[in-house]
Amino acid sequence: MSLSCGLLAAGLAPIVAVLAPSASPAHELLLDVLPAEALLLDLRYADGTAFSYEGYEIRPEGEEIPFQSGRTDANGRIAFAPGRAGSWRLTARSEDGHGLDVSFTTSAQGGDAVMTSRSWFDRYPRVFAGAGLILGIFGALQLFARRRRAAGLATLAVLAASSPCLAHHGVASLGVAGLQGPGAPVETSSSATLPAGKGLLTVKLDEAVFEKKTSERDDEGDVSSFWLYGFGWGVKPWLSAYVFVPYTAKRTEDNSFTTAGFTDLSVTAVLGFKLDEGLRLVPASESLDEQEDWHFTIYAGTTLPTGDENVRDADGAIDPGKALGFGTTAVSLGATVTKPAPEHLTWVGELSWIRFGEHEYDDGTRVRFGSELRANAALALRLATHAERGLRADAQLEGNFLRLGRDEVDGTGEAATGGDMVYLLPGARFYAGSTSAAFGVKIPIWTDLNEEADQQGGEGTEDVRILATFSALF
Amino acid sequence: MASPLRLPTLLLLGLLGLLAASPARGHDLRIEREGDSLVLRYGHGSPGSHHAGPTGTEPGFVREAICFDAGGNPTPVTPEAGSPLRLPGDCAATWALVSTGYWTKTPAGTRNLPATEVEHALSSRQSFESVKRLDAWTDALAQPLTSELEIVPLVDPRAVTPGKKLDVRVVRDGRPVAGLPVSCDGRVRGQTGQDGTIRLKVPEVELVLVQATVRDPHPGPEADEMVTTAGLVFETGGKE
Repeated sequence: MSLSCGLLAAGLAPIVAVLAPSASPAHELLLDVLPAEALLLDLRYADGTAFSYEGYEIRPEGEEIPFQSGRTDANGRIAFAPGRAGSWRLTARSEDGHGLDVSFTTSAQGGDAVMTSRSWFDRYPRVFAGAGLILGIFGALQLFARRRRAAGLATLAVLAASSPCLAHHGVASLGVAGLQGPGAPVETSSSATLPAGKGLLTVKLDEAVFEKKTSERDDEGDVSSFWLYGFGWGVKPWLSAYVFVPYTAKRTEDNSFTTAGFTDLSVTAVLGFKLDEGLRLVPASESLDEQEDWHFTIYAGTTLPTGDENVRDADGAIDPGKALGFGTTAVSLGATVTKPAPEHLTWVGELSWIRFGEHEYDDGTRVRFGSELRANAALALRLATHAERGLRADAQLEGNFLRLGRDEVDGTGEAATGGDMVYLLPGARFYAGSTSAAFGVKIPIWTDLNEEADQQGGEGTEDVRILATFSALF
Repeated sequence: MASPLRLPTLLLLGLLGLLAASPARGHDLRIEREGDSLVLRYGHGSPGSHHAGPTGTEPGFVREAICFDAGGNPTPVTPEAGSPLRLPGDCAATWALVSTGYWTKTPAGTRNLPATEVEHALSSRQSFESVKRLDAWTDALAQPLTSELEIVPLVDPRAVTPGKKLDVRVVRDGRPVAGLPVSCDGRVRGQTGQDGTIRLKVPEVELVLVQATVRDPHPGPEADEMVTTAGLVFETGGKE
């Protein structure tokens, strides 16, 4: 059985009704219906079933006479309006022996009653994570509002952002334990594999808003939207296969050269294994105890040149940075590690590398985009679950390191391309049954770009990236 | 009239409201060693829980009790009314089936009566619980000992060090039961796979209780369903 706290905020009018105003004998009972604030104590069994119609008492700590007694309502709830600070003891029981006996405190600040958890262990990690999330979003908004440095160059390598990024769009598995399993970050791939014979549909939006270096409306990269549509299939419990179809839209500030369309699709295979008294492949089903083991994946994938790499601007020139394809393959390799803590926390690490092939464009230019090395670390913190409705909410914090190699044009390193950068990504994920949605803001917090003053419209030069994903397991 | 809530207060309430979840446990039916004998204990074992229900000494509570020798041969044990069931301390395995009868939820609380004997029955169940304790490990004891819902460890559970994993299989009529929630030490740890097995971490406690529950429609009007819980009890410590 769980005990949770919420707010009951009743009505608006000061006095709504006064009943029985007729001629009143001395012992007549009068009723005033008043708006008030109260704590709502929600009593449920572990499976989410309401602890309804059962008896309870709330006593001031150490006292015998209850402040309040009665039965929970049809939803298993108790409205509690102590009107003062204090320590309380709630005793609830049913005839068949279920019940609880817990203490809690309320504080009164300006009339507001606040319920606090008894458990310091439970309390602080989540508060810190919540505060981190809020501060992160606040920081992102600040960065978003900030104005801008000087001029920029081409938007090379932006296309790479929509190449084989796996993103294990964690989906809460149905079942009694599904809501307590490991969390899945927004950007960093977790080590979860798909159940054998199950499919995953996913869509992800990565919207990059670039910092401008001039105040004029010119051809600087403004906003790029990277959509990623994915389909995954659990071939074996330990082997998953994915196909990703990216759609990219890139807009310059003056709309002088805007490209949009489907880009190179990619295929990826993921092999999952774990450490459980030795290395072993991921089994068909895992208990929560098994899910708490160290899990790993290695993956490999490639893009296929299905997009249009020879997109031309108004003058007929080809800008590979604005292209909708690489014209050749890009091979990716990666590995992940995931370690859920026993209660609420999941740590995820990922290392990946992408190498692009060289391609000769229709204008005779040969281009090889710089390779990408990514190192991601993420924490996912389970904040709340609602077993009856199959809901779960996680807060997440990620750090993403990216080393972009210098692009090569006709075999020569291209100026103002490549460099190192670190992003911070606070976010949240929400689960409902076999679906999940995640949101995050990705902020560059450190950059060391090649010829940094000349780079604009590429990775490391964003004001912010907004990420959103939705996934459904079927 | 109270002042409107401020945003920080709402945030604080929201955050703190998420924190107050406490662990929950079902009924604990255990067979514990007490001197030279074994005693059937019934109740809730978690701190903060408040047990005011059946104590296990009610007449008719124990439906069946069996002492098994190392060869798996059964010897029925007759319970004494008014006191907890006692079983011989030298049993290789012990098993007991109990029932607290019918339970019906009404607007006046949960009543220990069939749905046909109360007003405004909202939901109802007939409750059966069994527990098996292992104090030895032989080929015979590695098999199901009854035709009831039963948890069968695949290795000697007493030899598994706390913190290590134990595979168990949930069976009924000797056949594996798939998709059944299984708890260990009061916490649900997952569901059985297609072969009825689940892999559990043995907790750091002296007496481990593994439980699985199955729900079936009740054949008569007395209840909506029959709820049957099976338990496995063993002592930890890496015993030979």
